[in-house]
Amino acid sequence: MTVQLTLGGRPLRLLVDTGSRRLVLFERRIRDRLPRLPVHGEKLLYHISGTSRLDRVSLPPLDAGGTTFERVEGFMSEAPVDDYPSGIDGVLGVRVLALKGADFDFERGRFGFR
Amino acid sequence: MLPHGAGTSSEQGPIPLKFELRERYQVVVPGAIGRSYGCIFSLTTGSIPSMVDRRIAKKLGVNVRESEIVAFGEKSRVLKTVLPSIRLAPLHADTVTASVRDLSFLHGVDAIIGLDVLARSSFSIDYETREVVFGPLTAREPTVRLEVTPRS
Repeated sequence: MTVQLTLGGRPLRLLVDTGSRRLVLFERRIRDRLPRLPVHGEKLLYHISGTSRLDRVSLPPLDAGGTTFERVEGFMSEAPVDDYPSGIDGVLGVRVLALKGADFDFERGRFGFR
Repeated sequence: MLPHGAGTSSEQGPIPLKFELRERYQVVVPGAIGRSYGCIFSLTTGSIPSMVDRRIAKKLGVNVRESEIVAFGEKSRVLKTVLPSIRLAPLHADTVTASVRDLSFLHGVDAIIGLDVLARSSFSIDYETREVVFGPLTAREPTVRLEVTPRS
């Protein structure tokens, strides 16, 4: 399940995951579309398939159809993502979803922050 | 201790289902798998298919076969089964194909309820009141288009 958002005015598509803690961007998918983001350290992410090393990055404003989030903490993964469907640029986790709450409207095919 | 506010549809509209927010991100609610009541579910929209802990699969006596999943771009071998039903008031799904995993790292979660089950109904999560409501939602703006993209 994905939504198209903008990050610093540039479109990207994120997998909406209530089981992930953080906003993670796939470096291999966005490197040509986003300016290089400032890195502020590293983090090891433990998940069901093992462990991934992530760079902690400062994100420009994130916008979802008019709902804007400033100063959102993000992470960059340089791991191969070939097995993700093309067009998915990262994962939108609970750190962002919980800022406002989330509506998953499958009847209308819409996602919104509360 | 899990909250027990089971959500059901009624003339007053859907009743919110209280959830526990574990480790500040896991939405955890009570539910049932087949005749196994009192299960603990993690609602995980990023997971397809749903997953059940292997001790629950063993308790249910369901058949298990080998398969493969992908998470963060990495493939791993998993076991799969078909669960007789999943009940997560008011959601009810029969004959659910699920991965069988050791979910002990989730500290007591019996199953991860993925998008294959969750997408059967619209729902809303309020992290402030820690309530999830299943059922038709009131149209509101702003919203963005939601696309259901299967993970390979």
